[in-house]
Amino acid sequence: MGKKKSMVLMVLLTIVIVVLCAITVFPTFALGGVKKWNPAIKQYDLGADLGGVYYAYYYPEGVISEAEYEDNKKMLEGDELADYEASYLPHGGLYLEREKIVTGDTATPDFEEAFNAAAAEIAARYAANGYSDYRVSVVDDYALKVELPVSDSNAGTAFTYFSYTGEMTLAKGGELVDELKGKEADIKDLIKGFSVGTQYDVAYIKVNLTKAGRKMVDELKSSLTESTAASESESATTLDVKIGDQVIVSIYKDHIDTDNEVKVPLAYKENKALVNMIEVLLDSALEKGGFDIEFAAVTNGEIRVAEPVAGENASTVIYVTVGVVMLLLIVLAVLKMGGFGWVNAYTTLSYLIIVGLCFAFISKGIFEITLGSVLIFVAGLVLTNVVHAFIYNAIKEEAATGKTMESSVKGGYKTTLWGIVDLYAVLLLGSLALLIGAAGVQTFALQAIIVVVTAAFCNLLWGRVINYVAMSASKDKFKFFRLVRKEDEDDD
Amino acid sequence: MTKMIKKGTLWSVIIAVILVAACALGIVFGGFNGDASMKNANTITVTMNTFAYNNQLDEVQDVCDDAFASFDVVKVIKGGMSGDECELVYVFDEDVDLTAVKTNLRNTFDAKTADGAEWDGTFITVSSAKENVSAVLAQHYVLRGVIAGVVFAVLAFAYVALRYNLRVGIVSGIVTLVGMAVTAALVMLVRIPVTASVAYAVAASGLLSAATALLTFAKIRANEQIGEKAEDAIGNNVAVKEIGLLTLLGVVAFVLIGGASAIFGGLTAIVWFSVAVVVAFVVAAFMGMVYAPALYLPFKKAVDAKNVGRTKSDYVGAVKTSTKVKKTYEKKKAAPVEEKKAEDVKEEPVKEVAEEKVEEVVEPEAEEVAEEVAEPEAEEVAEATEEEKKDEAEA
Repeated sequence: MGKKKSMVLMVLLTIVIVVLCAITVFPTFALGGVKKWNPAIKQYDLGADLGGVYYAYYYPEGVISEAEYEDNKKMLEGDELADYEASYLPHGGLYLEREKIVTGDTATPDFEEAFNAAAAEIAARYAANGYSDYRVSVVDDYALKVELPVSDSNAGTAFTYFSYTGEMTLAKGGELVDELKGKEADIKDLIKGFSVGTQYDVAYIKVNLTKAGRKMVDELKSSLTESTAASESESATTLDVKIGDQVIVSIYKDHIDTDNEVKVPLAYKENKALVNMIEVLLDSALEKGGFDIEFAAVTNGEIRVAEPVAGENASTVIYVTVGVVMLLLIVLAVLKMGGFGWVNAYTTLSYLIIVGLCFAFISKGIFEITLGSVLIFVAGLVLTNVVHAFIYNAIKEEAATGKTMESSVKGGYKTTLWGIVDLYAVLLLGSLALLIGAAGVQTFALQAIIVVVTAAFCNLLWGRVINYVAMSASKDKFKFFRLVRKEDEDDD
Repeated sequence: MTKMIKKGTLWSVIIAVILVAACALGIVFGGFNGDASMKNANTITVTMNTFAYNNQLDEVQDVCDDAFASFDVVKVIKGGMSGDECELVYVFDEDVDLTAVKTNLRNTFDAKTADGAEWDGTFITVSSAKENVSAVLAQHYVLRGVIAGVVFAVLAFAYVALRYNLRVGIVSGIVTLVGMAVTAALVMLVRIPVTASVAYAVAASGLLSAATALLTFAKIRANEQIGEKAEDAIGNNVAVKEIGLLTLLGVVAFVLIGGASAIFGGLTAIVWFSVAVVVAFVVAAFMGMVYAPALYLPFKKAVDAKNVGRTKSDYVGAVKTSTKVKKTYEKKKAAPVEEKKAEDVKEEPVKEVAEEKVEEVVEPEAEEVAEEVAEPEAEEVAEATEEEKKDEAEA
C-alpha cells in the first residue's frame, strides 16, 4: 500500500476509534435543557455490588415493625395508648398482635409453623427466578427481608407477587368454577403446570391443562369475552387464575385455541423476564398449595433502595481504575514495542469499544454487569496485550535471521497463528461449558464468550490489518518495530 | 525451572493437602467465610422522614457514630424510599447486644426532635432487629457450577488431545480442573470474606489455567530438539515470560482495582473479590509454569524411552501387518514374473524396430558426414603426393 494512502487510512481509523471510544466511555454532560449525553457504559444494568439493591420487608398479618408501632403510639394518648400497648407483644424489633397470633408470651405454634413454611417457599421462589444477586433473610423470627439488584426492572412486581401465599384457584366472572367446588377438588386435577413461550414479539404464559381442564375450558370458552372487546364492555367475563384473592392471569376467549390450549400474552418479548417470574409464582403455588398465613402487600412506597456498600461511586471508581490499567498497558506497549506498540494501542481501544458496546446493547434484559464482568473484561484486555507481545517477539526472532521486515511480520504471524488459535479455542470452549452454570455464572459465561471472540478478532485479524496500514505509512520499517537492521549493526 | 518440574509428586501431594485441608475447614466452619451480606446480623435502623434525610443526614450520622463509637459496625446501609421515609441501617455481628445503645440513641433523638428542640418537626425512630440469612444462593446453583467446571475440563482435554496428543490433552484437562479446585480451596483456607461472586474468580481460574498450560505446551512443541532429554526439553521451554507477563499484568490490574475500592469505599466485597482474583491469577501461573510441565514430564519420558534410537525422520511403519495387506502382498509377489515377460515381449520388437529406424536415419547421415570429411582429406593427400613427386623429380 502506498504511503499516502496508508496515512489517510490511519487518520480515518484514528478518527473512527476516537469517536467510538467517546460513544462508549465519554462521561455524562448536560446538552442543554433536560437533555444529557450518556455514554454506552451508563446503559449497563449493574448488579448489587456495583449498583446497589432494592429491599423490602414482608410482615405477616398480626406483625408490625417497631417503627410502625412507635409511629402509631405517637398518635395515641391516655387509655387508648394503654390499650394499644397492651394489645401487642414486643419480640425483638417486631410487635405481635396478641389477639391474632399470640398465646401467653410467645407466638402460637400454628403461626410459627405457617410462617416457617411460607418463608422457605418464598426464598425458593427467589432462588428459582435466576437472580445473580439476591438475599432473603428472616428478621426477628417472624418477618422477611428481601434484597434484589437495582438493575432488576421487575423488582417491584417480584416483591409483590412473591409475597402471595394463598391457594391457587380458577374463577369465572369472580366465581369459583364448578370443578373446584367439591371438598375433594384439587387444582392439579385441572392444571398440570405452566410454561413460557414467545410468539410475534410477545411473551405468553401457557397453561398446561389436564384432560379434565381442557373439558372445562371447552365448556366455558363460549361465555368468555374476547380480549379486543374487553375495553368496550363494562364488565368482561374472564377465566381467572387466582392465588388467594389476587388475580394473576386473566384468560379471555381468544387466548384459547381450537385444541383448548391456553396461551395468555402478558408482556412484550423484551420483558420476558416478567413472564418468567409469573411462571415461577404460579408453579410454586400449584406445587405447594396455599399457606395459612398472609403477608401485607408491599407497596411501591415501602420499597427501599440502598446504594452499594462500597459507596454510591463504586462503579465510577472501578471504571476509572480500569481506564488507568488500560492506559498503563498502552504506555508499556509503546515503550517496549515502538510502532507496534501503537498498533497494540489501537487494538486495545478497539477491544474496549466492541466489548463495551456489546455489554451495553446485548445486556438489555439478558445480563447484568457484575464483578464477574469486570474480571472477564480485564482478563481479556490483559490477554490481548500479552498475545500481542507474543507476536512481537516472534517477529523480532524472524527479523534476527536477516529477513526483510515484511517477511518477518509475515513469518511472525505465521509462527504464532496456531498457538493463538488454540488458546482462544480452548477459552471459547470453556466459556461455552460455563453456560451450564446458573444465574450469575451463566451471565459470566455469556460475557466471557463476547470477550474471547473480541480478543481473538483483535489479535488474529484486526491487529494485523492495523499493523499493515501503519507499517506501510512508516519510513523505516525496522525502526517501526524498534529493531536495528543487521547492516546497520555491521556498519556500527 | 527444570528442577521444579522434576518434583511432580511433591506438587501433587501439596495440592492434595491443600484440597483436603480446605474440605476439612469447610466442614468445620460451614463452607466459605461469607462477607457481612452472607452472615446473620443484628441491626439498628434509624428511620426518618425525607426532609431530615435530605437536610440533616450528616448530623444524624454524627449522633449515631458517637453512640456506636465503642462498637464494631460491620457496614452502614443508606436506604431511600419512594414514600416519605428513609433509613440508616447499622449492621453488627449477631453476637452484639444492642439493647442499651438502642435505648440511649432513642432517648437522644427524642430529646432532639421534641417540641421546641433543635430538630423540631423531624420524625426519627430507632428500632433494632435480628436478621438470619436464609438464602443468597440456591443449592442447585453450586451443583451446576461444579458440573460446568467438569465439562470444561473434558472439553479442554478433547480439544488439546486432538491438536497435540492424548498425553498433553490429559494434562490440560487435569490442570483446568485442579486450577479451579485449588483456587476455591485457597480462598476457603485463607478465609477471605466472599460473596456469591467468588464463583467468578474460580471460573476465571479454570480459564486461565487452561490458557497458561497451552502457552507452555505450544512452546515445548515448537522448540523441542531431537534427542534432547525430557527434563531439558520441557524445562527449557516453559513459557515463563508469557505466563509471567499475563500474571503480572492481571495481578497489578486487580491490586489497583482493590486498592482504589478500599481507599474510596473501605474494605468491601469488591476488595475481597480482587484478592480472590489475584489468588486465581497466581494459581493459574503455577499451573502453567510448574504443575502442567511436571505432570507432562513422566509421559514424555515414557514416549522418549519408546523412541530410543529413532530419528525424527525414521518411518517404522506398521508394527503388525494386517491380513489384507498380506494378501495384497502375496498377489503382487506372484504377479511381477508374468508382467515382466509381457514387458520383455513388448520391449524386444520395440527395441529392434527402434534400432532399425536409428540405423536407417543415422547411416546415410554418417555416410554424408564421412564423405564431407573424406573428400577434402583425399584432396589434401593427393596434393601432398603430387608435391612429393615433384620434389623427387627435382632432386
